[in-house]
Amino acid sequence: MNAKQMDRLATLFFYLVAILIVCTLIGLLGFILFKGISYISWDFLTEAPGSYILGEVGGIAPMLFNSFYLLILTMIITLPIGIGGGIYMAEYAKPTRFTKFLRLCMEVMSSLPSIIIGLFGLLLLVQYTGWGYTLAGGALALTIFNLPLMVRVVEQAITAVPKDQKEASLALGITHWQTITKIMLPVALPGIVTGTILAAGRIFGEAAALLFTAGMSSPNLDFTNWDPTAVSSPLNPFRPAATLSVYIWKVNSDSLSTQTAAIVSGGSAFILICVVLLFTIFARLLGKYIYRRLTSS
Amino acid sequence: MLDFPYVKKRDADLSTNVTVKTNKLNVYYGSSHALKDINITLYDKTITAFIGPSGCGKSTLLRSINRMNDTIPGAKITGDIFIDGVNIQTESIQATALRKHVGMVFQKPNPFFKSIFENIAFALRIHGVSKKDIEAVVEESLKRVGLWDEVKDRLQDSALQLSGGQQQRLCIARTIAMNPSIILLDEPTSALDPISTEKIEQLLQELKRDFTIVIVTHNMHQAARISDYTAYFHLGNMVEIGHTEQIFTAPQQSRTHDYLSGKFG
Ligand SMILES: Nc1ncnc2c1ncn2[C@@H]1O[C@H](COP(=O)(O)OP(=O)(O)OP(=O)(O)O)[C@@H](O)[C@H]1O
Ligand SMILES: [Mg+2]
Repeated sequence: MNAKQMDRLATLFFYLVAILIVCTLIGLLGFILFKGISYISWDFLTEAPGSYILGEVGGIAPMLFNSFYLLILTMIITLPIGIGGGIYMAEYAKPTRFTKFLRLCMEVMSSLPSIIIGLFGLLLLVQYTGWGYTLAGGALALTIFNLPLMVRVVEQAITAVPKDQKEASLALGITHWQTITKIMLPVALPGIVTGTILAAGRIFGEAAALLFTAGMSSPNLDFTNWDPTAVSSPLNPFRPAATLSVYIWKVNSDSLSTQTAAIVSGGSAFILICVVLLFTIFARLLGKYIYRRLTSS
Repeated sequence: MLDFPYVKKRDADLSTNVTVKTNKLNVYYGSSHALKDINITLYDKTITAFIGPSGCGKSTLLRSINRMNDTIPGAKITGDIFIDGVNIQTESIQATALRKHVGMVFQKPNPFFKSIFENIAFALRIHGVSKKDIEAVVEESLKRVGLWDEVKDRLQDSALQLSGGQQQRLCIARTIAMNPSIILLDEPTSALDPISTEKIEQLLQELKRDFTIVIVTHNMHQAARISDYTAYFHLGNMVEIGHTEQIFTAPQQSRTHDYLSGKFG
């Protein structure tokens, strides 16, 4: 076989792989979305769950709320630390062995199997602290994946800022710190925003790490009580909370009526996929928008 | 013989006030010795051109004068640099204060990703200039670089919409807005078209009345046209410095002559 034929064959192979990937994605999304949409109704989105063991479908309102709330709690923890860490790694960390070790640690941290994080969280955040299953515990467990990701997102976004921007600023007698915050961070912002939202999608869909930290059930929530210290308040970070993904898992493992389980998890999966897809699209659009605002207004 | 159709005549009234003076200046990047025992003197309100083959240390010397080399990990400096008689290598001199006094313009125009107005106002605000004064300084700086009429109606537009030559003049305006006494320019026209280049050359002649100017250039004709003094560098050594007229017509060193006659470079 000559080089030309080889080239053709390889090209063909890669095309096939690409088509396979796209088909798998479309098939998977199509199946979930097509099957799920018939289960979606206003009630499904706004009602509390029914006792699915008895065959009641009910709604997913608390789980949907829990998923978003947990995401926000996690971001409140990881965003500031991630931005600080990213700035440190991009601008201050010297290329020493310690820095390399730090990078390795973060890589390992973000690639730990989530069920292991969940069990570790059970030990530390549920039992040792005596909190029981809580949103706070869940948020801290999610922090373990999310923080290294955020540090990397911010580091890469800052490193991608053209070096001449930094030089221009320093040459005007502006300090390194002000150069970072006033010149480099704004330019890095589209990258940070896009990366953050994409990372958020990963958190939103996470289940295994939450089973034993945020728990598999929620108390009866009173959506008129916004005092975060009240037991029935949705905002109370020290209450147990099943998220949408956890709920899908739970319904399928508990339910005797497979018909009900199929409806509840089909509808929930539809919502889950939609939200994650929206995150992805929103991330790109927002990133582009901010970039355009930044460079042309 | 050397062939430079236009060489600037020596001004009769060149200042003898010393602005910058180095004493046995050596710069190392890690183990590479980029500048060797440089003793150079720059005079007030003159233009000095640095020429020489790529990698000979022109930018390194320039970046020593405003201590931009501080920002490069592994860069090490020995010897002294005096600006207006003050040794800038001493601990008590803050790099940020020094860089207000010694402005720098880069090879590739590098306006901030901000509006035209903000490109100049930004640093002023950080250095505590009042809001009222900022507007006046922005206007004055833009006028001095001949950009005011071109941009006065779109000060809030992004600076990235300007042409390369306009961007470079904006970068010069941004630098002079800080009211420095020295301006360092590292190949400021090498990314520009001939017309923009000529505008900048004219501008430098005007700015010379108020600033001490140092320009690195690969364009020997440019050095011959605009500078009062020319320094020739080779492999980290300053081979020769003299009045531009003398360097381009009768260099003392054979290495300078070889370079100027295009034997290498
Ligand atoms: N950041 C750096 N790290 C390591 N070595 C460097 C660095 N900057 C410059 N050097 C080295 O120092 C020497 C002088 O470089 P410098 O940039 O001053 O040359 P130059 O005369 O400005 O060249 P050019 O005309 O190409 O701009 C070169 O050998 C270069 O490789
Ligand atoms: Mg250079």
